[in-house]
Amino acid sequence: MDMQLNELQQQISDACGKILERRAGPGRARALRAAGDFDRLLLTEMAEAGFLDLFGEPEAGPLVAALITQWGAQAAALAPIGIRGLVAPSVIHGDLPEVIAIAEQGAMGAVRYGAEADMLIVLDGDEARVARRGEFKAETIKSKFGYPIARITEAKGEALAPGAGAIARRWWRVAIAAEISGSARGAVDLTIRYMGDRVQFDRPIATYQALQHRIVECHVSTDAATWATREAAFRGAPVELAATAAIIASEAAHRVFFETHQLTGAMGFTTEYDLHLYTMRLQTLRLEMQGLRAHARDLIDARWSAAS
Amino acid sequence: MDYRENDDETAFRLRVREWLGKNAPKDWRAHTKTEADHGALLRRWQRTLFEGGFVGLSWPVEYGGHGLTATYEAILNDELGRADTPRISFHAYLGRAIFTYGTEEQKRRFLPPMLNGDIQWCQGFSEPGAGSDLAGLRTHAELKGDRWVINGQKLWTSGAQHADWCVALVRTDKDAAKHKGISCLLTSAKAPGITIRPIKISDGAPETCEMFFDDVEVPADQMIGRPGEGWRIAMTVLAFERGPADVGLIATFQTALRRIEGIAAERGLMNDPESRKAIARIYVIGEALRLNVMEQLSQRVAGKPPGPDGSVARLLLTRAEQAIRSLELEISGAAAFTDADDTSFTSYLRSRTISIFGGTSEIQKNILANQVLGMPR
Ligand SMILES: Cc1cc2nc3c(=O)[nH]c(=O)nc-3n(C[C@H](O)[C@H](O)[C@H](O)COP(=O)(O)OP(=O)(O)OC[C@H]3O[C@@H](n4cnc5c(N)ncnc54)[C@H](O)[C@@H]3O)c2cc1C
Repeated sequence: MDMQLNELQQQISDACGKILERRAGPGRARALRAAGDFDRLLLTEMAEAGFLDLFGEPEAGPLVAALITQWGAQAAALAPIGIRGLVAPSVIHGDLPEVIAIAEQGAMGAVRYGAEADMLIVLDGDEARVARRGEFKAETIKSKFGYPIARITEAKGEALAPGAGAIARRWWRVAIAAEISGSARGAVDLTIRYMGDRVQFDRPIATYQALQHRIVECHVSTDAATWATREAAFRGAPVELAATAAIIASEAAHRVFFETHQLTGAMGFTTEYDLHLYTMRLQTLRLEMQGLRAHARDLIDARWSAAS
Repeated sequence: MDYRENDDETAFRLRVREWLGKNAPKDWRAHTKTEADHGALLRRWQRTLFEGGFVGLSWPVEYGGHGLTATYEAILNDELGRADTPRISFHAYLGRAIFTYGTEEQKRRFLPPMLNGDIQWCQGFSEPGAGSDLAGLRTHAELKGDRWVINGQKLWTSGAQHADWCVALVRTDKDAAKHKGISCLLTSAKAPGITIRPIKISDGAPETCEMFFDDVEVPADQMIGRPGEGWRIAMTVLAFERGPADVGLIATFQTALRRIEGIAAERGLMNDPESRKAIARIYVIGEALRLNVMEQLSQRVAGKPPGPDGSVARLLLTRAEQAIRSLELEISGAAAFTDADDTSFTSYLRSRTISIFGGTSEIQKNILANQVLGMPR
């Protein structure tokens, strides 16, 4: 076992970090949100550098695709990196467009990046189909959830191989967990800095142990989500590990939202301050795929259904 | 101890209910898209309530009130909560500064228009450097002749953009100890030298503001209490703001719970053991809040002002509100993204701020630890 980045992974991390530093970040996320836009430029640049097509690369594989998703989210990147890099290639072979969205049949009322997508993957039980531009219709919904969200009103498309729905669902969970762990890390890091700077009663609030413990709990939850995501990706997203990662991550999302906002006081609720750029997304991700309840149900079915 | 209402109280309840049936604004959430709409609605609603004879029930008659006991106030609030009306409340706590510490002249001048809604107020306490550490405030006022001249900045002054007047805490003695050099001034929110900048918060409304004071002149007779008495006044106001001896919250809570039960039934979740347990838990939290509020209320009826134990009520209220809004979001599922105007998400975000404004949960706990449990600082 080796939990450190190997040489190749380190190189990818450095190169990807440079792109994210230049292209992503909370300032850019804020500007894009204000304009009702998302980061196509970033996706293009990452695609050109090859960072969105590592899933099938023997040396990199899904683990690195998951790492990139985490890093992107941590940098507040406003682009569906995980769906493109981690979910789509698990069921579609060959060239992929840059912007891909995913939805569950029967829950198409709110789909992240639905209106921006060049391609939509629709899961229907264990099956799935893929609709290209023109084969589905989407209406943007104005929302406070931190991502562009759309209602899909119609989606035709072509069936994928039998069982593709079940496969994509597992990777979707890993992608959610990866985005949560990255966004949560962004929120926690920001809050740690804020606590060091914010002085009340003549001392930085970071010096209060009662508060230190709370941010530490956030750190622990985020760390757990990070590692659960990585293992699930590394092992090919078996149902149990994918669901476990999504559960740990959803719980972390809940905690991190709650605590980072509490620790930041009134400032955390303003749109001028960066925190909401990470935290509103945590709420979306926590509710996606019907949330914790559905993740838990799949875990129970996979692990204990034989016992009952 | 007696949990029942007497005949007069019951008759009053029926009268309120009937009146609300005719006068309560309908569908007001759908019609108030902006903060300005909301401000205008509150003004109108307060006026209607006042004309119906339902504002300031427990306030003395000479200041525009009705001289009834706090029980009547509670019954009214309960019915308002049930009817899901907009909430007007600032007279209940900001008014306390004037009511408790004002001169006879100040009370006659400011209280009646506060109750009838002619004058809207905002609370100028917090500053960039003074949040939890309110006594660290630096906005200062200097006496020049018969006027105080204010310079500095207030932050998070909710509703300042629509307010006519402001209750401002200012430092008047830089040499005195932190808590002792503070005074309380009433200033027109439109006085020359005041600049107000709305601040957008993440639930979408520019509901709070920044207020800049640049040589703002305030006549000396607009100081409430004596110079240096500001901290005591602030503590009185905050105790009333915190201690929700306000039964309306319970009714609102119960309405929200019924709404969630409805959504859960619609989504087939009432048979889901997990959801049933979650809903039952919220019900129990609500009951704990209800009993505490009743206990607080009985103290008010007995004439006791709210003290540090009001923080218990505040913590219970926070817990109840945050738990129920979080459950609502979870039970709503994808509908949370698509319901009109993000109703459930907005409620959730608003509930998050309850543990911040009027003193954070941590500060409430510090108060309880130090002042109620007698633990060392
Ligand atoms: C929606 C909203 C409306 C508001 N409206 C008004 C208004 O109308 N008028 C007004 O004057 N103010 C208003 N406020 C401001 C409010 O009173 C302050 O936000 C509050 O007092 C906390 O201050 P802060 O935001 O600066 O947080 P900080 O004081 O910076 O606190 C940050 C974190 O540190 C914690 N902390 C600080 N000190 C301690 C300690 N000693 N021990 C343990 N933990 C500690 C806090 O609990 C919090 O979690 C409003 C706030 C909000 C969110």
